Amino acid sequence: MKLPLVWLKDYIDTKKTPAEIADSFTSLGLMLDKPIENDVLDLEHRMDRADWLSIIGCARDFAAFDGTKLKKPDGLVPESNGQGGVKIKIEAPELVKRFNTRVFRGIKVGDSPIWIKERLESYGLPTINNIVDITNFVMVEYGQPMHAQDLSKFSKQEIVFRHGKAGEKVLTLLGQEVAVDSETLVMAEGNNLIGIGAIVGSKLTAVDNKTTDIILDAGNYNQSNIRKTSRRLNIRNETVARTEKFLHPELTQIAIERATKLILELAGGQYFENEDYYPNKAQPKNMILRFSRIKTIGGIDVDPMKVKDILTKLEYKIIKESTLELTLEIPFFRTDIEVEDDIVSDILRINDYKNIPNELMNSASPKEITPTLMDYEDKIRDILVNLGMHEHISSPMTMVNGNDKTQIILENALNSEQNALRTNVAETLRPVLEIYKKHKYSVIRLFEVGRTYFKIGEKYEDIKEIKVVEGIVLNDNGARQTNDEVKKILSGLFVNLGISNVSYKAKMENKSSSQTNMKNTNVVTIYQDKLELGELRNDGFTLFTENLVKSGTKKLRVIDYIPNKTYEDVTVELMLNETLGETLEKLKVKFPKAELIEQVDEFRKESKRMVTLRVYKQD
Amino acid sequence: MDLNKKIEDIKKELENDLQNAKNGSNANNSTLDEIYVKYFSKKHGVITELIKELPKLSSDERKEFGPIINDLQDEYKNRIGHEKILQEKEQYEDPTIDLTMPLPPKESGYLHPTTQVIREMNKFFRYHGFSVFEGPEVETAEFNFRKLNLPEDHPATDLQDTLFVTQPEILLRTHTSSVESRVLTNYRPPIRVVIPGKCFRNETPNKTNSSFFYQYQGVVVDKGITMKHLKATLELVHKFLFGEDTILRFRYKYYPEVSPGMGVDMQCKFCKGVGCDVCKQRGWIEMLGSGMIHYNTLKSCGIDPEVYSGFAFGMGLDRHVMQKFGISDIRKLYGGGLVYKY
Repeated sequence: MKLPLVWLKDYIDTKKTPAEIADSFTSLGLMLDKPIENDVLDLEHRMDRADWLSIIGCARDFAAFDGTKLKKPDGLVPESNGQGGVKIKIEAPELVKRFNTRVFRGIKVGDSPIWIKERLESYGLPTINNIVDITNFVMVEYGQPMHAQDLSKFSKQEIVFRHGKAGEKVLTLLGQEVAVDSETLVMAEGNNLIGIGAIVGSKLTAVDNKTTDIILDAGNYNQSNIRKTSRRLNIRNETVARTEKFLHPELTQIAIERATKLILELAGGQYFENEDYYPNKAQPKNMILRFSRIKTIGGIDVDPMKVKDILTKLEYKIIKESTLELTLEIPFFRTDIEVEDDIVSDILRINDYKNIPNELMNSASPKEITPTLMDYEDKIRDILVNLGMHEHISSPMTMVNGNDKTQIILENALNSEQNALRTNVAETLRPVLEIYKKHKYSVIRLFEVGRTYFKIGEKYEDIKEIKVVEGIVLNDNGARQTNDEVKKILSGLFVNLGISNVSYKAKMENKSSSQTNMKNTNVVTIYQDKLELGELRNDGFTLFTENLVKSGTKKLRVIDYIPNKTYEDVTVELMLNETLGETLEKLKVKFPKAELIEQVDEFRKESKRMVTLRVYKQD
Repeated sequence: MDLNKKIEDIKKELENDLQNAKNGSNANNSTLDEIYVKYFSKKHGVITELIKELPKLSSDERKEFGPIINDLQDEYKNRIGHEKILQEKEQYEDPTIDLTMPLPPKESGYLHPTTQVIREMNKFFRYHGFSVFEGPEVETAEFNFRKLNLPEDHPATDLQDTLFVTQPEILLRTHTSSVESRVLTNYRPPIRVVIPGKCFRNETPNKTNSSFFYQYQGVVVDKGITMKHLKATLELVHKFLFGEDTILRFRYKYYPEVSPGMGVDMQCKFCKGVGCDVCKQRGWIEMLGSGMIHYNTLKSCGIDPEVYSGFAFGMGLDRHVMQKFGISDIRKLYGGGLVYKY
């Protein structure tokens, strides 16, 4: 929200410097967002307070915070000159809550006076003519968007609100043609569309220098529909910024009165009451504030006199009071007040948070509920780092892979390169490897502790997040050196985690219908008994963290004697496409005391592999 | 006498063995170790055997040979120990070594900067009685929005902000508050948890905003928790992270899941609040959002807001990580261009 100090000072008296004023706004909830330029504060507006999109709304809170008085403009106008006679027809009642109108005849359109121009320009709005400027002025002053149209440009003295139709277009005030749809609230007269409801008016009925008769309106609409429509049509303006928030229908009357007064003063003419479509009048909301609640939440006692003073300055009405509580009528413009604590918030913030002292919690610590898995992941990180691996974190978002039916696809991603979630970490981690390559590392060892994401159906319960540890290694001396590195790291990790009895089995892969199941020796599965711990590839591994936790572990063996160590060499014969994994399992059975089995020699001839394994045994 | 001769023979043999160990090309520890085992092993050591014979001798012989054999044992145990020390000395005192010339470090790995910061913070909070918690990254609108008092119409639920798996119910969590609502639903007070985790938003990535980022959330619920405790906790953690001279500013700020809400800024350490490029001329740097957990949030999670109260805070971790490690682009932080240099 832009807040020109010259405008703000119409409603408050303050001797504070611009920086001091900005500090007060920051404390009370409107943080200074950018450096102060030309005595205009740019304040960060959060979504809740529709009334903070008005100068008076900001001034009211400032006055309460600063202990000064809010001077509201006087809205008194003479009696109307009868009825305006323009019909209002609402054919989309679910989208229009109030449509408040007045008719003016015999006005003189011209330039605005300097004081209006100065204020609008410092706010950042262009000045057009006195009528348009007045609608903008009142919008910024009170937060209620307004709209004036030239009645001589109407073919029929009637305004209709209805849903748009496919193929219809609105010619906006800025001269753009905007196609509307059935979700769009449009304003029509006769056969013409004269506006997109609560978003933008049309050039067709715009007020110009020849205009003498106008219809002025201030409406209240379904804010949700307006926000969606404005995003869909990609129209953002000062009107939408307000109508998409929770404005209150009562505000339309205040705005109409204020605009009437300004029009009569600055453009002359006469005004006529016209239809005020307001089928469900909003009732004032009453709430109870317990004084004790201020202490429960804020931790401090605020003197009841001070509480009442703050609330009165913020325009709450005290309906009933006792020593324990106040019954309050919530100001209509405070559409953000939902619960008693919101009133407590008002008191604490106007009292200034800096008046709440610090106090450390002194109750006993609750029971520890950190999941085992999280500590375990940290342990894995430490071990892998000690084994020389670098940890990286890559974004889990990736591209849609049409072949993978289990992939989770994002319906509305803006970025077509990140429109799905990864089903393996390697695909998002591998680009990091490429960076290391560019830096000319000769040995690269990377890992990520992360998740992969799958869906097996359409329901939320069908979504699985699997925690994995992914390792990728590259040794530029070659594939064997790379693989040795991977295996050593993995063995080191298992030893440190206390995981023993690990076996490696080639994955069975159904390559095509003409072939029988083939063993895929590029990927092997890592098991402990029947528990699948993960998989090992030539240049990396994937481990399933939850299964690592479940695996049987034993403490690191510590011995206090010098054992007799012996070994025995065993030569096995394999077919070329066979792997050693199964042989190792058999050897482990044959040599139950085997501590380590190492490959010491390999000889290949035709379709055979002769492998010599050394089995180390010890007492 | 027979025994005398035997002792002399053993001595000779031992001296010979020691000499060999010293001169031999394979003069290494294992050889000395082997000598030790040969003479002193509990089962078959040559001198051990000799000692075992002692009880079989007559009392006169025992008087004569006992001390001799004991001396023999002491002398050679010492000799072997001494030789070992000399050998080791020789081994490490190579005159060609130049101690003043450093070498590149032995390779070791590093943790990701974000992990390092998360650990530092977890350490602080665990010391103060917090548990570390986590939850699903693919979430339901129930936990991500509704339980946190974010109505359907709230702008944060707009398509622009949330990445949906299946609109409008299944989504990628937009904040770690989703885990807060899970903890509040599944555990009973007293509760003290922190939640580091990945979050997602539908944004076109640039230097400072990524569609994937990290948040760090804290949640406390107990009887008698007030804003005093929130302020003190935040003051403490900021001083822990940024030093004792840290100055904080507490101001009202709206967040739908808390009431009252509170924004926390740290005075810029570079300009001491005057305004500079680091703080974009503000003098203050926004650190986090916080507040007292909304009445409706507690209620929707099954905690009686008339009995319990609590606070929550959430901060983006990435900016802090980037500042600490001098990284200029968030996209590089997560998979796009970091390498760790020794």
